[in-house]
Amino acid sequence: MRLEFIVNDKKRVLEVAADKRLIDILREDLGLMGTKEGCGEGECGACTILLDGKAVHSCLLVAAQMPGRQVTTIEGLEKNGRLDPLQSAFVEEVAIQCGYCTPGMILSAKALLLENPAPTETEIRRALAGNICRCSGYTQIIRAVERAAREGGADI
Amino acid sequence: MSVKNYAPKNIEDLFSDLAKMTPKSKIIAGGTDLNISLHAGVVKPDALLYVGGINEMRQIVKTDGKVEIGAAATMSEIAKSRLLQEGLTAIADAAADVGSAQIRNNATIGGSVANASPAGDILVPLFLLKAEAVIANSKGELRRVPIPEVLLGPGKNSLCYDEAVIKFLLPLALPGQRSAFVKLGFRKAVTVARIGLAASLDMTEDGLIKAAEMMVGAISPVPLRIETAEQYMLGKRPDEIVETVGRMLSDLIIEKTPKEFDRDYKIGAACGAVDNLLKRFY
Amino acid sequence: MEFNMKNLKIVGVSHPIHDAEAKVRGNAIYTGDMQFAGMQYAAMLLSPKPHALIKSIDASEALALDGVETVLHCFNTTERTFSRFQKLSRQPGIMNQERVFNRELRQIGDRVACVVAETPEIARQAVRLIKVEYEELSFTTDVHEVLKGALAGMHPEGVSFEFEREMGDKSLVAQDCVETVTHSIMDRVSHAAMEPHACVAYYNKSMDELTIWSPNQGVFGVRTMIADLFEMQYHKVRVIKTTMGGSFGAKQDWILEPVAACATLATGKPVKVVYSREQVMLNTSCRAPYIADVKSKFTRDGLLQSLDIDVILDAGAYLGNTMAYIKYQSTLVPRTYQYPYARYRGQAVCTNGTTSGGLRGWSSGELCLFVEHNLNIVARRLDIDPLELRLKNVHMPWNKEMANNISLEEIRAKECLELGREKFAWDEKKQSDADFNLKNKRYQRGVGVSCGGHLNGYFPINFDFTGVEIRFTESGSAIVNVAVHDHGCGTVQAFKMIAAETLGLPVDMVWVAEGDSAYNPFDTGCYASRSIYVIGRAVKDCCHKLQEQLLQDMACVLSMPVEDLEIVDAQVRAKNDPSTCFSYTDAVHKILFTLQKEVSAKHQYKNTTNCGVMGTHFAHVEVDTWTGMTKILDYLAVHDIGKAINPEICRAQVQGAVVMGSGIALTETMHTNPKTGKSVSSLKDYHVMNAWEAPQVQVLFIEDGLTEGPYGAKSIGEASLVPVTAAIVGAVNEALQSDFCECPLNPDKIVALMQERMKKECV
Repeated sequence: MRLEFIVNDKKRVLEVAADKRLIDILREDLGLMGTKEGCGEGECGACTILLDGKAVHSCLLVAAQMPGRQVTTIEGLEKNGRLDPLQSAFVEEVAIQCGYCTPGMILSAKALLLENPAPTETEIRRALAGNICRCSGYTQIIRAVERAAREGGADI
Repeated sequence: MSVKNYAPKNIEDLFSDLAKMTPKSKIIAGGTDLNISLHAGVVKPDALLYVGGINEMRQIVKTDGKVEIGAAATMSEIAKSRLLQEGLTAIADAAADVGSAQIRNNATIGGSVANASPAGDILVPLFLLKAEAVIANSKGELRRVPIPEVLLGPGKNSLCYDEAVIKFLLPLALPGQRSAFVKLGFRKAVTVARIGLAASLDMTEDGLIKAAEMMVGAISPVPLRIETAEQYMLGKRPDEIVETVGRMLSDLIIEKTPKEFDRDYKIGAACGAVDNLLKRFY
Repeated sequence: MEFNMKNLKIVGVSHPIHDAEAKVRGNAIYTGDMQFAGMQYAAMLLSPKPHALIKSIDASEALALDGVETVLHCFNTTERTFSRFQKLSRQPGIMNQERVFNRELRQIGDRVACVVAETPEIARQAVRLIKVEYEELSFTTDVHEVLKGALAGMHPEGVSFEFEREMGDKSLVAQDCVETVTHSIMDRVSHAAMEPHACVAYYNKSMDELTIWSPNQGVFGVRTMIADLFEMQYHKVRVIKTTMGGSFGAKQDWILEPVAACATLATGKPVKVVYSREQVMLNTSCRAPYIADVKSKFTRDGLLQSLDIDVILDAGAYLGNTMAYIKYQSTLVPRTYQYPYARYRGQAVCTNGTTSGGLRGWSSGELCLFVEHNLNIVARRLDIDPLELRLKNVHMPWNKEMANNISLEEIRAKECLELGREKFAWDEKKQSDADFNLKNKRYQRGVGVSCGGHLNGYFPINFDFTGVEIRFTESGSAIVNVAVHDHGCGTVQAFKMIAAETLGLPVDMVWVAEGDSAYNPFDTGCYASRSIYVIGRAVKDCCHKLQEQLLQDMACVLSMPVEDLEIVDAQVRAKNDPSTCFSYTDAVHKILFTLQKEVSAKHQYKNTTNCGVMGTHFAHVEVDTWTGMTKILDYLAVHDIGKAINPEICRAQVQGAVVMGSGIALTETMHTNPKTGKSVSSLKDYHVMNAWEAPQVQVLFIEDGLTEGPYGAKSIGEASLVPVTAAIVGAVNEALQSDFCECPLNPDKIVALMQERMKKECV
């Protein structure tokens, strides 16, 4: 099928199979390797992207669902050479170890902050419940989201 | 062979696209279950009909005496809807409890019904609140069908390949009526229900139950009413009946649940589920 | 105590991991992200049968699919066997039991075949077209059945292995002891590293050179095993460690590497293999299920006299590391408590379950659970507070352990316990729980404490040395060449900090190479908590050597006695003449142009110590006795870390360990269905704790800087997991006044226990 959609603010037109997964389109057709596959069944959250501003699993979407929609991947967060406040906060709060969950985790946090710019710890925990991190105990991650909410201001 | 795809933008187009469906075709909305089977090669459709682009299938609106929930409304949208409060809270509760934020943002109520998973959280309140499905077919017809007639058993629905649920109709609750849904899973969040429990209670001003309906899911192929409990509750306060209602639920599980579906656990944990549910009413 | 700790500018200050910025941008390159021109993709067919012989394979339909390069299976690949656990050439005590593609399939998930094709999608489609005829063989997942003779002949070398040893002096055991027997069971656990296993391999036929990229814990181990398997010279196989998305021990067994190597050797094209989560769970490794009996003897006033430990470990289909595993476990037995005598007997038994391997702590966590559970029951019987009982028995500094008679040096078990008691408010919590439990029917609370530690490297069980090379660049920065394998927990960053601190450079003026068998000095790999303690120490020593070399060369350049020169703040200075002063870059240039020399140093370090490493953990839980769900209300971990090189990463690791160990205690099980032989193989059913249910974890470090490690550091990553499960299980048993130890204590088991109690009360 001909797929026309917006990825990281750019219009993309591709010829893909209607049942090709979004994660494979992003990685194989568009070379956006930041989106990671951890389980392929919506349990780990590593493949999370923003679809029309909401966090979803890119491993559970296929091309047939994508025409006209807006996708943001981890590569789309940096604006004018500046990291998103969440990205900087994750670095500064030492919220990254192996990094495999990081893109998905940041995008889930991004979706949360877009909807709720000043979340409580409980709200953060609930919003990130679908993103497994096996390295940390989530402490630094939660702190990074709090910091980005506090310091990010208009950039979020 | 490549998979055809159709993405109607309105109900009129849906009718004509339904006419192109074959028994091998699949209707897709959120795709949170279907796409796993597609990737595994278990399901090999000749066409995918995506209904998420039909605006009226995503809306939650109040009409005369009913709340209409579009079949492609996501769990997130249902959980946040202001129209689903008081007597209809159970359905919002169930939607809020489904999986993770990512799943709730993508999974739809129509998909949940079409998939007919015994552990589907949203099915229990749909049964409890006497929802009806509005079904479109390839001939351009719409028909209203009560939920129990749509849902036949695990993975089975009564829809023909050229039919699609477009919305659900929920009768408005009576003033004073309240409902709630709780589930027991394997863990506290992002979990599949092992017991899904919903009740709709009408209570007097001094906290006595005037009318009660109670349903349980995930213990049998389709949700079941707990009739003994509904009778027993009348004229009592929710906090004084927990253990008795718990026993009634245990008895129902003993009767209905096959051993391999965690029956032993469900029997033991029934009282906890009942306690969690009834706490919502006092 | 003071010499190390003063004036540190970098060590002890929290830094993000070295590739944090790449990771937040999504451009850190993991193996699955690698691409080469002409790359082929391999997709696997794994065994659906727990035990079967392949009678025939018909791959014709798969081969006919456009884009399929080849289909590999037992009839067209090498019949030679390997051990996934091979780390050394001529390694004693390992058994080569597996083929790349086995003809006899010994577990669900054993490798049957692999399709190599132009795209991942074509490869996956082709896999579905392979027709295999199986002859089913009888199978079992029950170790007792195997010990009775089932599966005899599955491996020619035998299907079980036994190891027994005594330690200490039995005659010193006091008379009139209280004997307590406890029984523990642990189910199969998945490492669940977020990055599924992956490997890229390329065989350049004209050069006869094989290169392998994978997230592995030991490039030389992979090289050795692959070269031995395919009968190649070691210099013809180059292994490069890639960014690793977590291991926890999962990536210390070589499984995809032989597959990818086999595929590229067959095709001469670069081949990528990426496992799905299900394939990871079924075909890589897991932590073995255990059955353990512990018999302790205590004096009536609570002094431990002897431990008698009997364990059976379910190795799964292949022995892998398990013979080493139980031997290793025996050496851990005397490292926590001081007592006269211990006996350990371990049996590793093959079944048709999922093959096991090492998981973070390498048997320490299991042992800790078995022993600590016994101690909790003893405490109850003797009416001694569980924490008091531990205080009476833990090792004191400079005690010797009785397995190898080496000193535990500055083990700080007692201080950890005392600090924890105060900060956790142990006594207050016990009191308030007693009140709470009286008033509550549905919810019951309890506290648990546990002591457990780990090792720092192999000494004295195996040889333990490493090599490092460091050179100055002309811009005055330093390149450290060492076979480090960062699992994603910050080892590279720690090494950069150690080198920067020692050389007086800013951290980003140091570059640390990761594992590459073509260029690194030889090393045995990043296992056994040896990275910081052994390799990090070697880096530090090598930095000193590099500075000495710099001084010597500058003395030559300046025609001055070397004694008159010193290095202060990354400058070479004459002690008596402040005007003679050269920055590193100036000094390096002087030496380059004058002496025609590069300033570099080479160092080999042999470790000869293994100090005590102790963690004491405190858990406060609330058990919902009606639903069987356990909530962790509060958790404190205290560790005698020696010196935290990168403190926030250390804390994050401890917190991560607590979440992992809590999962192992309460929710995680790769349970194997005895009727089908199928283990849980999906994260839908394998419940890793998420942010919603993960407890808040307080972490305290006791830092004395008094070890042989760099800047006085000890191990932490593995050690931090060891006490967790025991602390949680102890707290649950305290809440329920029960004595059951069957991990995970999931809602099903707790509800079953409560139901059983109700039945007893009714009778």
